[in-house]
Amino acid sequence: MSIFKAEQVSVNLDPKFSVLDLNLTVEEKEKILLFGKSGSGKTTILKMFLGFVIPSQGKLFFRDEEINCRNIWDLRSQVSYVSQNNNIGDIPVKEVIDRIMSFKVNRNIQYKHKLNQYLDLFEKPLEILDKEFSDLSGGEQQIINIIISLLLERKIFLLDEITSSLDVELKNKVQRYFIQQEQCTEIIVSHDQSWMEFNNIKTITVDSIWAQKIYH
Amino acid sequence: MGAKDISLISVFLCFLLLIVPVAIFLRFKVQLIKSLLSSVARMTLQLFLAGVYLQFIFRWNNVFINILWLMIMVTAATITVLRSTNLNIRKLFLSIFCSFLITVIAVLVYFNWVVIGLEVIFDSRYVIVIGGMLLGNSLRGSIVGLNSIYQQLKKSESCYLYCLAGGATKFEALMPYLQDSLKFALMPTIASMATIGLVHLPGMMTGQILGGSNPMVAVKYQITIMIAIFTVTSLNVVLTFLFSIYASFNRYGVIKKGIWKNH
Repeated sequence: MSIFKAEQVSVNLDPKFSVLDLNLTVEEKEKILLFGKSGSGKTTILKMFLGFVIPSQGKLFFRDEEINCRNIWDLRSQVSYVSQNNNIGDIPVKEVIDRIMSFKVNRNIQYKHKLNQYLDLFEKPLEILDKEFSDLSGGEQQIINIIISLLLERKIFLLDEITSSLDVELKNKVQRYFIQQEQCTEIIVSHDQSWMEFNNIKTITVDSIWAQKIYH
Repeated sequence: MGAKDISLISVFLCFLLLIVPVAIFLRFKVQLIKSLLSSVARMTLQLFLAGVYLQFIFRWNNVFINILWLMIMVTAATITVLRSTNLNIRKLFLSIFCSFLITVIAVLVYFNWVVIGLEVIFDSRYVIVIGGMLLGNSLRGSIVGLNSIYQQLKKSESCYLYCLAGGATKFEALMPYLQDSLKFALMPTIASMATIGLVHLPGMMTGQILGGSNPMVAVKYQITIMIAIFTVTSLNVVLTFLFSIYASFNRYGVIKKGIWKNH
């Protein structure tokens, strides 16, 4: 059973940019790297699987079931998404986390203990929880987003440029952490070649999976 | 017993007072004279027209005409609200219209029937005047509330989507926006309730006292109407938003771009 599948998917984002004829299959436990220049449509692929961008043609599948407006909510509760630029706002990090964990689908997760472990793992002090999210540096925001995605205890990850603001050491740590999650299925979007050094990652260059790009 | 009539000449004499603000604008080179004069002209015309049609409506005092008139007022209120936001009028008209109509009629019926104890609930004097007060006074709050929700959504759409991706239902993801919008919409009214009577006597009370009512009667009307206005505003913010969800979000929970003007 494949986790994600796109069959001849096309989407018109704006008159200048269309994505045509995407075919992609992500098997369970696979780690797929979508590699390509910025603006090549990598993020759009993730957004389509989350139901944030609706394809104009073609079909998207999740666990062999066609994605529609009814099952998308279930999909979203099974997938952990780390977005590229995510300003959650002027509230303390602790409240950001509490809010995400207060959603009905996440309410039963015991996360306080894990939170401390992850902060420790990614070298962030406990005090970061009291700072306002918008006051954090880009790298700190990225780590917090990553930690939230891990707290949700899900097995499928959509990771959009999650290491772009991290220093080399921390970046390696994050990369190794995600690559070592054998049970997890991951789509990793990045323009950073260092992901390719891991041998259990399957790289797809995004420019090559679009059959055609139209510039009017 | 009623208020002393003002002759048309006296009204004209009152217009002479406008020389003061116009002189101020001229002296300090404030470019508001044109808009002031056009607003005064509109006010005069609209109020005289209102005087004329109110005379007829009170004379006829027909339930259907009264309700029809209420609907015309609701339409005007809806257009005013939508004009003051940067939202697409065509897409949201129906949700705001329905929300206004339901809240005003619901509160009006309770007010006229339970609070005042009228025998004819849709008596024109009460329906048109009280209904107008409820609408007019909840307008600002409704504008603020609606604006707040959609402005915030526009500004932090990625945050909203992030919550959806985290497994939130549409309502869970929208909750903070609704909370903020209710706060922004209602805080001014809460503040003004606390100072009412200290700084100024509100218009309705002043009118009733001039019209010959006992000040205690005027006070009781004022208190009850303030509470009714507050109820209408809060209910209206929530209902408008709930009704607008269908027009504003697609079935995947993503906000439609066409909801704002200039799209």
